[in-house]
Amino acid sequence: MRRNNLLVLDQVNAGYGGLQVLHEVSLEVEAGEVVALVGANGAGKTTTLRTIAGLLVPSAGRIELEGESVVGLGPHDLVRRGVVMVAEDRELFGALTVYENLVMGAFTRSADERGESLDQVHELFPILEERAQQKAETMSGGQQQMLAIGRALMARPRLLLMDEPSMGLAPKLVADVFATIDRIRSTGITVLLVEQNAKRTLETADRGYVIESGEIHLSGTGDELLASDDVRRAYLGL
Amino acid sequence: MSDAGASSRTGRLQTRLHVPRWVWGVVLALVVLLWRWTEVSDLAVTPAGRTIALQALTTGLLIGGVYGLVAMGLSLIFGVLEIINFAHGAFLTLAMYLTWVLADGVGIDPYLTLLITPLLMFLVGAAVQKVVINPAMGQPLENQLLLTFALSILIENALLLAFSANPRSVRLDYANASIGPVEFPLRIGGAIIELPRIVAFVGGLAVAWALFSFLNRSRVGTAIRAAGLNRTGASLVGVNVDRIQVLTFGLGTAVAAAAGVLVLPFLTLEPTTGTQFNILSFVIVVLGGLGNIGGALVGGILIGLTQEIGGLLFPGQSKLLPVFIIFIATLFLKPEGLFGGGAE
Ligand SMILES: Nc1ncnc2c1ncn2[C@@H]1O[C@H](COP(=O)(O)OP(=O)(O)OP(=O)(O)O)[C@@H](O)[C@H]1O
Ligand SMILES: [Mg+2]
Repeated sequence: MRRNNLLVLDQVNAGYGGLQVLHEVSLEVEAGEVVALVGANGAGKTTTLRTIAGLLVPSAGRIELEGESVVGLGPHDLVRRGVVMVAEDRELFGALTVYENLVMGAFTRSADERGESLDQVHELFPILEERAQQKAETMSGGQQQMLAIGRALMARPRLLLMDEPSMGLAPKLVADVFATIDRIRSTGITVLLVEQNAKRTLETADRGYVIESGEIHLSGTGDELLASDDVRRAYLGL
Repeated sequence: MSDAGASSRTGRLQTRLHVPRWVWGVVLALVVLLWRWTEVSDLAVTPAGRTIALQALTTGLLIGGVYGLVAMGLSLIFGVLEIINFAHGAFLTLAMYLTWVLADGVGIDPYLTLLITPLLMFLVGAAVQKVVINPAMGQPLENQLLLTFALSILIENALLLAFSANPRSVRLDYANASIGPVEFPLRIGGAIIELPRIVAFVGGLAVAWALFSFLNRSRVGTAIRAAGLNRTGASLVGVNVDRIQVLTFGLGTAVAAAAGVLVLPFLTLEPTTGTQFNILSFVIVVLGGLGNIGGALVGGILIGLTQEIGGLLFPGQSKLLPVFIIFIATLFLKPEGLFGGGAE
């Protein structure tokens, strides 16, 4: 195990009720990296992120954050430890305003930190400042995605788990999302990124894992995976 | 393999007091109806008619504030836990007995128990949520209904066993005192307004105000609002949703307990006293919109007025008749509650 691993999953099994979805999933994320997790629909990408975020409890295996086991911790504990997820369906507070959603994002933070983060998020997504008083549920899909990312950043994550942030967005906005991920990386936040858009994701990521039917099938640097025949055939349609 | 349980159902807890203009219209209509009544009924020609009308108006308003408070607790619990707590009224009865024991047995002023009874009932509610309700959280609505219904029967029977069915009451030595030039009971145009009813109304509004402030301003209140809007979302911003649910059930129960303390001085207490509050607060919560705390308070006052004024308009019928007519009409015409669902 490399020493500056921020997150390690070792032989993790997890699922829903009696249904096991993840089979001995192992992966590592180093501090400062952007790591991609790609795979087909239903492969278990969301399940993996939910397990890391503490929404699901693994039935077997180890999950360590900076060498410490975090198995059994709830999502709220993990937020306090710097693991924050941008969920696939965003999980915003629809009836609250954009501003209130961002404030909620900083629930675990002091008022000073909150003010600082708010400035940073507004700089990253100016629309969130313009629309501060608009109800979250009345924002467009792309705006809601920015709000979801913004809310997660308000918690000042060390590890940001992003579940298909580009889903359902127009090509122009998809490009924006990937540019955002680059900017987030440049602030020192580690990112574990789940995406359908394998090509773009692997171009952005330092390293990646390919998951199939709940098992890690391949891993390597972004370039290695992009060059691999399996990935080209299965995900890039080449 | 277990699901840590945060369901992503989007709740609709609303914690702001918002009185739509039409509410004033309804109040006005009720008053006009009342006025008409004094003119058409047999009593109308006599001054007694106006007195009776005024009595109904004040009694309805004052008790309505307390109904509103009880319903706020129930609506809060629904808004955050998405369960309908059929034991809410039984908890209220339990609180009343607690205060009765403290007042009649220990000799504490009944109103002073406002500092004790709600606190103890908070603990009772929290414990019940943790031990009894929480295991049923993922289950279908019917199971939860049956569970809380069983709980209410259990509480009622335990009270029957402990205190028998004999009616109990507390005495206030100062119920007929005078404060400065003001003599109690108050007499306004022949209507009699007893001190304990005024205290219940004012105290009820004070507790309601405290609850609003707590929910909208405090940190725990913020967590409660988050959990009441989106459980998964709340846990993803760092709210311990399990703990918030325990706390909220305790808080809702404490609110009912405060209402119980406030009404005890003018009601006789039996193990089934809470039943009527239970039914009414259920009606009010539907009327105000499930999970709409402000709607519950306003709805409570409207139901209090409806009950008393309706009692005059349909003499010889149960006072609940007009209440149920409104209830059923609401379910058919505006099932999301009179206060317009999600919109504020
Ligand atoms: N709440 C649930 N209960 C039962 N099974 C579930 C649940 N959520 C997901 N699954 C199942 O787990 C498997 C993996 O689902 P998961 O959501 O992790 O896939 P995914 O890789 O994120 O797919 P997508 O790209 O479509 O988002 C699927 O077979 C799915 O049907
Ligand atoms: Mg998914």
